Amino acid sequence: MQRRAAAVLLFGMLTVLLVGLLAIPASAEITQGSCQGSATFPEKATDKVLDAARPRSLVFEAPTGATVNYTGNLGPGASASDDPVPFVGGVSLQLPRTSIPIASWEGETEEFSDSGTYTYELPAGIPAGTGDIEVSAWHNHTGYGNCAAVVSVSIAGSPGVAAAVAGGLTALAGAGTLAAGRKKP
Amino acid sequence: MKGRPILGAVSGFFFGLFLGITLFLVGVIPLHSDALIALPIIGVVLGLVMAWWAPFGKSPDEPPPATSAPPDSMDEPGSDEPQPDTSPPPDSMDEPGSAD
Repeated sequence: MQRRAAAVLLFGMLTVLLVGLLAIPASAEITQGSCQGSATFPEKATDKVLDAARPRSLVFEAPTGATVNYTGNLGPGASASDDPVPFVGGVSLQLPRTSIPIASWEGETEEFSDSGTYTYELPAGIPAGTGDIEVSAWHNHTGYGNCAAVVSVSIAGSPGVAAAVAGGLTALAGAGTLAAGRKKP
Repeated sequence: MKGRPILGAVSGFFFGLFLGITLFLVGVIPLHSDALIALPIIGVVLGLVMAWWAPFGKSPDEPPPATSAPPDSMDEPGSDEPQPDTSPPPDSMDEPGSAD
């Protein structure tokens, strides 16, 4: 009777925690300001445009390498200023309860918009085919307000060996956890 | 606790950690999910519960199984073979009545 009660209690606790934690709410992606921005991946067959206004729940699958056409501005009707204005911004990778910066920029400009092409190639060690990766970007144009946006991306491909190794280590640690339930002699 | 709580806590932590990494790698949970933090904690709790519950193995206070045969040296094979004589040799000098 005691064992059955413990099993029911444990199973219930795990179920409640996992259901609560795995439910990720979808929300708006431009979290601050009225800026606009997008990146076009011309080499993709479908879903070529990653827009800053894209719903966070709609995950964008990014290739491991591409040449991207990007464009952005501080808002509808924003025009160039007469004098250079300092700006600063950056991109962060969202982790549980924290984030790590992965890129930043700063300088002075008279322009309120920018466009061009950018070529990237992800390192081979980054696993593909994983769950959603949330990336946030922010930009502050002094005197003209802040802008922030969040997008969800995943890397195209298969997790391959990394997932197999992680699965094996999970099984090994699970066996150790079960072994803890063996009575002492 | 009847089981092994230290083994349970350590292996439970790594079980939850690797389970979270595996779930992320196969695309089940996102990288920013709080489950990646909660799973190792749940693993530690699970390991401690396993150590407390200890559903595996034989309890030290349990009686031995009744199916075991009682020891009977007379029926053991080879018991009729001559055994080496390990008794001390008789000492005639100490026998009663042998003194002069």
